[in-house]
Amino acid sequence: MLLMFYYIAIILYGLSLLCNISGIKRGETIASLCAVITGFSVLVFIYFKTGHFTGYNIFESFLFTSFILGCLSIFSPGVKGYMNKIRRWVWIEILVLMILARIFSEELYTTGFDYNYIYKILFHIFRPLSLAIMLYATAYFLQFILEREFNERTNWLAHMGRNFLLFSAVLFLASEYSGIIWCQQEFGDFWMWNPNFMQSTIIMSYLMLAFHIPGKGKRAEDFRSLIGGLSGIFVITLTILRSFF
Amino acid sequence: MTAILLWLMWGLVMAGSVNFKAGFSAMNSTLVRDWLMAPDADFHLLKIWFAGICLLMTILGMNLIFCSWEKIYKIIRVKFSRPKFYMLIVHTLFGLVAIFHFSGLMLGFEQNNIMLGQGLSYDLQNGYKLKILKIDFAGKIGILDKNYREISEEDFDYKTSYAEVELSCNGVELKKDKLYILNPLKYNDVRVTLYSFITPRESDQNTPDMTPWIKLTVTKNPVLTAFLFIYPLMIVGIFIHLVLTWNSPVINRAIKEASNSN
Repeated sequence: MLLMFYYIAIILYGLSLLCNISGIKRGETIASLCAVITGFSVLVFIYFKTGHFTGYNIFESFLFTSFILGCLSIFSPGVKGYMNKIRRWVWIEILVLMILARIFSEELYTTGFDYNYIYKILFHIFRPLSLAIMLYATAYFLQFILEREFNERTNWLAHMGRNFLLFSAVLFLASEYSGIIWCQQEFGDFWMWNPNFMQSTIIMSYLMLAFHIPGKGKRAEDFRSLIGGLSGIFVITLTILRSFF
Repeated sequence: MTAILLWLMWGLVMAGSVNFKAGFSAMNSTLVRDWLMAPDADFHLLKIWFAGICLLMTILGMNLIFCSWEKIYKIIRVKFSRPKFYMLIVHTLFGLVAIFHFSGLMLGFEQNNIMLGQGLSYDLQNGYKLKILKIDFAGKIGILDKNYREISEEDFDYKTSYAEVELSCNGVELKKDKLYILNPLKYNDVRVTLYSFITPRESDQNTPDMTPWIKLTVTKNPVLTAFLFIYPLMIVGIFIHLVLTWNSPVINRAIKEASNSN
């Protein structure tokens, strides 16, 4: 059942991308709405099956991220002419994310006696939220890099990319703070030298790097966009690599 | 920042490696200050890595201080800008968070994996003493010693299982309270955290006591409260800066032009 909905969602997102490329706007709207609703059904299914909020393992977390990204793409206001291209990137990102999710076991997280502890829930909500908004920023940065040579009025793409990246950093820090309280209460200390800690600190350092690239010229702006654009991809790669440790 | 990133990547590889498992475990079982000072510790590469990360963070801290001075000067003498002022506050808060983080590694004490049964006591650092008065476990005995991820809600009710403990210092009783998982005992800067219930470690063969034991962590972190207060302020500061800089006049003009041309 879960996998059936999962595959339907992938097909619908694929259809949204095809309609976007072909310029069939109505088809894209209908397909994307259906895809988001199917994605939401998967999350609801997980909730009723496990009794907890989704996001406790990579499969669940990537599905949740895809859902948020889909909602952002449909409901986020934008400027005519650019949003179509932004959406195209988002559909590609969602497809990659959902296919990557399948690499990991679809077995749902049903163990653990404390999964309804509020700070644990918040930690697992803020993380995918942050990743989804980071990937949305990636879409803006990638479009900026592509459009820059043709059109000089594209600075707002980079600016919006920066806005969403900063917002994702706020959410990431919120997840860290929730995790700190959770670990402090459960393990007696939030500072544990382990792969999880390294992963979080690497992501935080990457975000700091993205916001502190010096210079004002075209070159610096391009580099800033490149680092910002790679942020979502970097976090996904790191999450996958971390899962092997 | 790139150097910090690469250094942390090295740390991630080491933390995931079996060869360094014992080293990281030793690092986590006590305060980093005590781990560094331990004469018999044989984790040289890990210590080099730790010294490296400290050095890089110090350089970052110095950079933060010099940049902030420059910003303060610009705000006061050149032109006042609200977003820049908020960013300065955020940087100051970040500096404080980093200082409190580091202080948490060096000040107070930490003792992990303390295993105790009913009626037993344990001498902690700085004259503190912990005594277990009662243990009440509401769950299936079979789950004891299992990894906490393997224990389900049906097997164990963490909200009703508790240990009654007494914390004293130099013979003077400080606090007596029930200790639950996710609900530690707090006395000033000292926190006694119930980590898990385990099978009894020692028992008299004639009168075997099957009451589960408990695993505890005791920490004294004098900067924890300040750290937990400053951290969300930093997040709020970044959010305010984001709201203030979401739109910029130049960008708004570009949006208008783009809208008109389509």
